[in-house]
Amino acid sequence: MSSAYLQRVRRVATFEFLRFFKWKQELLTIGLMLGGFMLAILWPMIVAFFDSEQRIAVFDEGALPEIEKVEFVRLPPVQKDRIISSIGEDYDAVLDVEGFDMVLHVEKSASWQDSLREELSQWMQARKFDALELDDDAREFYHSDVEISMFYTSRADDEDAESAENERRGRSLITGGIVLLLFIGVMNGFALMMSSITQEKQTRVTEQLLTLLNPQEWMDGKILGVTMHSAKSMLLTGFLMFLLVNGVHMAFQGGFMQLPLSLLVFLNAIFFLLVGLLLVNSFLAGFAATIDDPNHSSRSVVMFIPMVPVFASFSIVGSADSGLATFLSIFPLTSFAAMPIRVAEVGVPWWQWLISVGLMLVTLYWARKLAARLFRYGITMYGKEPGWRDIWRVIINT
Amino acid sequence: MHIEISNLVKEYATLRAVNQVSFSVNDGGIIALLGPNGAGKSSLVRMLVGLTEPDSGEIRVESEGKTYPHLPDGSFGYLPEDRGLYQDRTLKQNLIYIGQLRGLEKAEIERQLDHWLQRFELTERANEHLKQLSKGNQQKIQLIATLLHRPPMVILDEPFSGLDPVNQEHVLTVLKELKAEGVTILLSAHQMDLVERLADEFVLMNCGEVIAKGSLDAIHNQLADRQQIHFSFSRQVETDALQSLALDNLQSNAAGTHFEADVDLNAALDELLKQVAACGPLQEFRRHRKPLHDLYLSAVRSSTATQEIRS
Repeated sequence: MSSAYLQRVRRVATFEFLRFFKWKQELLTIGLMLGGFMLAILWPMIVAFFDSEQRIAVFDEGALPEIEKVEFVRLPPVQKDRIISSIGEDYDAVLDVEGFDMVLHVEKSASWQDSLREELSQWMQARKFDALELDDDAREFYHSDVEISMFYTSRADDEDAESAENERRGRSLITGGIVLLLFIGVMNGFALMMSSITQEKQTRVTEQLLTLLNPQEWMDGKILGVTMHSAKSMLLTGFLMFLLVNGVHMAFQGGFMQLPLSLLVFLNAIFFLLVGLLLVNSFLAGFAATIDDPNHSSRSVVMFIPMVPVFASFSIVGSADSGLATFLSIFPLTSFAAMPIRVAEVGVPWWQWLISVGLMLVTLYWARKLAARLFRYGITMYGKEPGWRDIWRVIINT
Repeated sequence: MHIEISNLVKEYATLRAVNQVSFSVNDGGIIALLGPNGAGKSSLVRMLVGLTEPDSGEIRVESEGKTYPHLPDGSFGYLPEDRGLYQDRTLKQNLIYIGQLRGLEKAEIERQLDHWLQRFELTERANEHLKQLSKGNQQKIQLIATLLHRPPMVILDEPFSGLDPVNQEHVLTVLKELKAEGVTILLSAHQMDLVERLADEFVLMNCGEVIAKGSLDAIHNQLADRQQIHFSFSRQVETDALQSLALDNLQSNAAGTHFEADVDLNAALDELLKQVAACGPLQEFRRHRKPLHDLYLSAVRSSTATQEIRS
């Protein structure tokens, strides 16, 4: 690798990154994300604020139910028919109770009725229980929670079974986060690489620049620059999510959320995600180079193929010790998504990790070569898209 | 730098874009590639700069004691026919990027930018996005991108297209300055009047083949089958005497003092001068060379007809 090669790749990568990195847009994105998270947290309060109080006429002699935002008014049975026929005027509904049976009269279906029915059902359940006339001990025994204590033989020294269970939940949270961030990174790479290469073709930058640097240098620079941008989006989103989740945790439960995330697991995830993005972006660069006009090319749909490993990795979250998870974490086209999940959830034998890394790096080397060859082939067609047969020939020859 | 092109052939699917083309380019001076659309000029240039490879034939570039199969990196500036830069970046960002990829130091890029932006009267607009500029100004930026690293050779594919007459003259002046500095320029263009004033050597192409090459005189000798003469007398003369001479298409003004006529390319003009002078008090006798534009058109038509018969 000559210093001229490295310098050119660095120049292209920096240019590509800055081409898509815009401060105003970044700040707007952060603002929108924070706004979205805040809205999600505050949504129940907003809904409650706008909820109106329901007034319900009750024909029953027993104690009235006590439900928030609902006013129950007991009326004499002689008024029943008149009130039912005038629902919607003074009363939103009529509750007719006979023994343990209830009939709720309403004018038409509405969203507030779902929660009301649930609450009334619990109220009637309690009334049935009271009818059993149990003593206090029997009542307390019935109401006490049933708990299953877990004991992990691999953690026999750990006296706190609850902490082991919390750790398992925390790991699932981490692996879910990894998949979500990977999804963001791949989608970002897809959008930028597609627009980067096809825009250059359409604005006719390609020919002039190809006399300044060779296709391999150009593709390597593009792959690196777009990957830097994808990684930026991933890490920024990850950081914001971390802050917000902790903010919510502090507000409702107090203190920072304890996640079972060791430095090794974190670094391993970063390594696999970055190499994975390089691999995905190499694939995207190669295929984008064969597309002249993204609006009219049927080939654009192929660009979604890199989403397959991301969706496959979804299936192993929570079952990272399965045979499928082992296969996906070693197969070079899916390992970047599956291996961080396995390492975070269950731990991986060192030899499997080494094989996975080796295969992934070899595939990355091949993919960037393929991208440059497809690019060179695409530009020499001058105005035509290479056919599938041409592309296959290039893949075989690489 | 010396370029020798021998029997060059380039084919795309069923089309032979360049067919057995041979010519050479020496250091310094301006050589013009002329030909209608589809003549093979751009295909030839792309092989010369190494973007595509010839199917057969050879390009030999001798530079600093070494031989290359195309122009070596960094030794040339290239303005392609299909050209554009990044529309959402400023003039300065575009040109700095090109300069960096050329391997220029930051200070050198700044120095060259100042010079060229001033030379093309664009200094005030350096921080505007490219998309804010007119097509003509974008064209000038493309030219600056080609010249930024001060290459010893520049290849310009249609450098005048998209420019108004004022800017065409501006670019013409810049190219003359470059020639005076010793830069070798290979250009293709359709503006015959400009090219005729600018180039030292010409290569006329049609349907992928060279139909004439050399200096303007040589082109005339290769393509013109007739030459035109103009002569005038101080008083009216009888045309009967003139019509007995070997003059074709003899035409005169209403006063019968000024004449023009076609003569054979190999006619002895000294002898003809004596014969014309014998017809009256001769004031002026001069040979009028056909403009390159006319030569070009008749040569292309004739070549196209030959190609059609051949196919």
